Amino acid sequence: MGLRPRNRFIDNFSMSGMTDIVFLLLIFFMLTSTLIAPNALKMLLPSRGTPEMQTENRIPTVTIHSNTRIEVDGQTVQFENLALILESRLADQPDPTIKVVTSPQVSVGDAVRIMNVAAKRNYTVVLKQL
Amino acid sequence: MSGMTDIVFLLLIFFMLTTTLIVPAAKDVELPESNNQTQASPVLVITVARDQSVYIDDQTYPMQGLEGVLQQKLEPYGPTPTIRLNADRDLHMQEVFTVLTIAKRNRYKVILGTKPLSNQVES
Repeated sequence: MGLRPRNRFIDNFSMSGMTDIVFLLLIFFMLTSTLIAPNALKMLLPSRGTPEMQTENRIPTVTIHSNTRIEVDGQTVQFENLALILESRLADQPDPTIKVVTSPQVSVGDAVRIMNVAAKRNYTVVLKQL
Repeated sequence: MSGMTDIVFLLLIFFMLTTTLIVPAAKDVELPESNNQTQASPVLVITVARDQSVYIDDQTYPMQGLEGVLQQKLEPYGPTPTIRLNADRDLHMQEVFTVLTIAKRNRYKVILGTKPLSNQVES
């Protein structure tokens, strides 16, 4: 009888295909875990020790009132013009810094909108409560 | 080769878990929008919802006792740990300043959690 079983077990198992996939996944997750930089803004409060008095008059103060009115050094400005005003004030500063003074009633979203303008231009923002 | 495959598998699982655990969302809040990114890695996330309730690791705490809770939780992380403050965009700055004042007293660094800008109207 020349009958042979049709389904024969393959007795040599190769793992190399799976190892390739696992390696690829490993590299992918290694890269993504190191490249993730969370979206966030640094929050700085004025510290008592800094020699703020000497440079105080050169740091523009952006004040946000509870009715979302914005002032730069006491002068009311429109949000659209804020970037231009800050750029002209801080053009020749080596370490540009602005002070953001907010009323306690201002929403976080409105304050972040102002801080975005500064963050985009790499200005240091110091927060203060009105 | 099976020994190496074991190690590679372990590494794979480690990196998969760390990528998914990077931002543990304690409570869903509507974050303010900003494209600014920071390399600072926070050790703790404080979430303040619109109704001024404070969440740390899925547990809610009163704002009054927050300083003690933070001191206890951040004690193992050295002198200047970084905390991430996830504040709702409609929350008043009053509560943010309360957390910032606590952080300043205890020398914690604070980063404010944001989400990427949905529309590019930033000036």
